[in-house]
Amino acid sequence: MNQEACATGWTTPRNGERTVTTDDDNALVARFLRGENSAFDTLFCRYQDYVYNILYGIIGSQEEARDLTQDVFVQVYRSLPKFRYGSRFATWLYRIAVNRGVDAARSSKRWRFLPIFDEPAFAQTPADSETEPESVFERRLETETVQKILQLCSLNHREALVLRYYQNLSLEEIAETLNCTAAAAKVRLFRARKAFKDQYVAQFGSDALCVAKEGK
Amino acid sequence: MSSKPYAKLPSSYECGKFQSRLFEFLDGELNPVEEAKAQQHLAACAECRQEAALARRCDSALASASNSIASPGDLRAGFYLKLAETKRRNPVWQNWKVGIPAVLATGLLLLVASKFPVMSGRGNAPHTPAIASDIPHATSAKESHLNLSPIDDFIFQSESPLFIVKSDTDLKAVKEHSSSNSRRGSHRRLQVAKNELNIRSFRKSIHDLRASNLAVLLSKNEVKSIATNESLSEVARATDAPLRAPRLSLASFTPRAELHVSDDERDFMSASLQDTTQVSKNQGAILGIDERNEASDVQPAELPALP
Repeated sequence: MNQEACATGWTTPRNGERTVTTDDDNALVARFLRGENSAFDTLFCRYQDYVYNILYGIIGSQEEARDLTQDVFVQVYRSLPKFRYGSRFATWLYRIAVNRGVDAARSSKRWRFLPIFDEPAFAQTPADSETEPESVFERRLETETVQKILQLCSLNHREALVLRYYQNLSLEEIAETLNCTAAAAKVRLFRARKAFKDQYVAQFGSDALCVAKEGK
Repeated sequence: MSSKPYAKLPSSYECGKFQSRLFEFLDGELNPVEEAKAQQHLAACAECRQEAALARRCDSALASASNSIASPGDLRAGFYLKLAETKRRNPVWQNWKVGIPAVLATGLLLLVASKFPVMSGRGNAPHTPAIASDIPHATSAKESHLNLSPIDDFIFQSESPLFIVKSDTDLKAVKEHSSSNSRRGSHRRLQVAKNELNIRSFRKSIHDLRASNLAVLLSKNEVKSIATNESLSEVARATDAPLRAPRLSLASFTPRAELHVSDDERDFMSASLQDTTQVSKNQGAILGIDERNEASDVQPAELPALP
């Protein structure tokens, strides 16, 4: 349908990478509301990885995150006529994704287990795997540990951490997504980082301090 | 003195204060004076140094984890299936704009029928329950809810758009059409609806499907049934009567929407009709055309390439 537009949308968002301009998104939204479904296709391709990362960070399961990503876009598809351009499309989308992720995490809190060690959730860098297999292994182990620790944090903290580190949003953008003031977002992020650090120490025990020394 | 700079620190700047400002320190958000004090304290306090190193480690671990998450791949296929499924599960009567007036109208109708039994054509029989089928107007309303066809529907997805087909023969036709366009490999079939459809929800679903850029195949009898508001059995009884052209029939059941069909779309419809009739004589229409309510200058939605 819109392969050309999609071709640029499949990379996983990287730290520091910004998406697209608000005007561009709004133009696509307007085109979709005029009946051009290909415009929605472009938005989908552009943002699916971002939405997936939010949901994966909150839920901790790849399969569930994939499923929820599709649900989020179904909701967006149906709700777009109500979009009033009061905020950026991306912020609006992230808010829906966060709410959906939190709802799902709450509903499955009692029975859900953490399958992160069973799934190859993290991509390996081919070059590293040949030259430095040990460091790659350590890195993968660490990223898996990060995901596990994230799941041990409260949902409030998880939201803030995912938006800050997985989405690389600014404090203002986090505040807008979480519908709070920038000051409140800052406090929440501070507490979240502290909670993550405490869980990190709890996870690694005395090794955490050694790792930290080496890391420094 | 210079060997012990921490000795000059004000007593208020202790480990607790440093750690309360730890993340601001790491983010470089402290003012120069505070920054200098923090650096001094850090040089003197091994415990806070470790805390700072640990916090840095956590930050970098979180950042690198976000870079290492594998892409989920193309999720569009599942999305479009879910979208179609959601539309099927939310029929028109669940929409309050339609549902509330419908409930009010039904209630009013029943009220009128109970107050004025003469309308039911049964004279003065006040204790006879006035059922909807006794009322002329309600009869037609009931007729309009007759089942169109309880046969299996399938969504067939090549890549895009989706085809809603009404039988296996249709599926075969769409598959042939699809494979002729080199769209193999991503075929997925989903049984959509075995439940019975009524005319109203069917119209709504058709409208939604068309808004989703989907193509729908219907039999001629179904097209006529929709267009004339007659039941399928009535249409079947009158099979000898010449049917109108399917496209005109399709236009007639979307009275509020003006139908804009480009030349390409018209060709596509004609080609599809020909393809379909080669497979099954029952097939009569394809609804893949783009529907516009207002802007006529909008580019037509994309349709599958012609075979």
